[in-house]
Amino acid sequence: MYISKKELLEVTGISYGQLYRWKREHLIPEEWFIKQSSYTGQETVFLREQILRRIKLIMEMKDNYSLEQIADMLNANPDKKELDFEHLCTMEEIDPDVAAFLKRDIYSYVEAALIAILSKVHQKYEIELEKIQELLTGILENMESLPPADNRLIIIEAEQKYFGIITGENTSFTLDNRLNIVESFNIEYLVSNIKFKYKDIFQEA
Amino acid sequence: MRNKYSGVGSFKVDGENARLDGMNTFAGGEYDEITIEGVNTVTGSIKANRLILKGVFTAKEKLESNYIEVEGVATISGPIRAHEADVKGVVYLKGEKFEADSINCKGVISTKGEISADTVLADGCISAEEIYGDVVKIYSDMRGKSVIKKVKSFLERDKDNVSEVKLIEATTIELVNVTADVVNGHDIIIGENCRINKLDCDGTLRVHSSSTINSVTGNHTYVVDNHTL
Repeated sequence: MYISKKELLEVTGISYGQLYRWKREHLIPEEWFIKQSSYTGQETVFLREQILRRIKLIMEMKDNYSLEQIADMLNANPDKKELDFEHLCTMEEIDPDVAAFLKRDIYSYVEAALIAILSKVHQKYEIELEKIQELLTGILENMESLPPADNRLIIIEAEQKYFGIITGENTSFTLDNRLNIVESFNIEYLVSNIKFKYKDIFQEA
Repeated sequence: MRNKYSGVGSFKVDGENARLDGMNTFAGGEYDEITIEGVNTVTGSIKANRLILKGVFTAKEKLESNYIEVEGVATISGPIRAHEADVKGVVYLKGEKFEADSINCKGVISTKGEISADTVLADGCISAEEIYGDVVKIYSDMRGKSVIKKVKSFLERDKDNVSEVKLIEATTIELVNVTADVVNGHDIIIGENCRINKLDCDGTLRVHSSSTINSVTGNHTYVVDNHTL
């Protein structure tokens, strides 16, 4: 679950200098640096999947964007609405039929990510649009009230009905045997990817 | 809040630039260049392109500037954020962070908090809980140095080891006359008269024979070198 700072540098090939520069520039949140007691005194550890995913994303972006731009993309503000319906439907992840269920003048990154998730679920599992609409209605209110950081959206199915669970990225849970996990998405990762991939249309809107 | 001040002195504002002289208390604000000289207290935060602090300066809030120069004695309760910081006098931080792209310290930095910079170059003295960076070089060598003999060898804390840091982590580290609890880095040179408790190095490690390290770990190439630093 945890990765030490030393192992992190070994695995990713980044230096102490890079790690702390990215922290200073808010590419890596300060609260991700977890201080723990160890036999050598105190050491800093990270949640393994969370930090590895973030560093991978930064590495992919850093040759094309300034640290400031990357920080802006990574620190998604879920309340920031910058995209209209027309632009939303130009995104390849978006099914216009799914998007049409959520009528907005402008959409936030989180809303765009949610529509992208449900578009994928609709296409991949051939779930009827009516059920997707129910799912969207059920999830949306709860999802908007949560920050995307460190949260996961899990779509579950029971007797051909679909439900959403929003849970902490590293929170373990056990489901009733009658429930099936359809898909599981890291919300922050999706939002960051959408901001990154469609930065031009978000800025234009 | 900007330009609000009281005291015995002058506060001249010329466009986006300002100069404060004498003994004053003022609210802070945003400037292109601000020079503060005399005995001054700022109650709010300052944001500037260039911030020059001379004399005795006290800040209650954040200082943020592209360039910060401290020539006198600055006591800061809030954090400092700069691209380039040049400490020629004394900076006393009351626990908040000191963050910059580069910190050049010819005087003294004392903080109960964290210093984080791409480059920390100090031939003065540093007392800090933690220093993080890409390159951290602290040569606390008092010979021939002034700033009132590096503030009397950092208030005479020790004859030799005038810099004291709990944790230093950087890609490249060079130390002289430094006492540290933990030093972690890739390429490390421990020069004269250092006392290190734990050191972890994964690149090249050079240690002067006059220095002591209690515990060394990491996959490094070890060089014993009396001529090191």
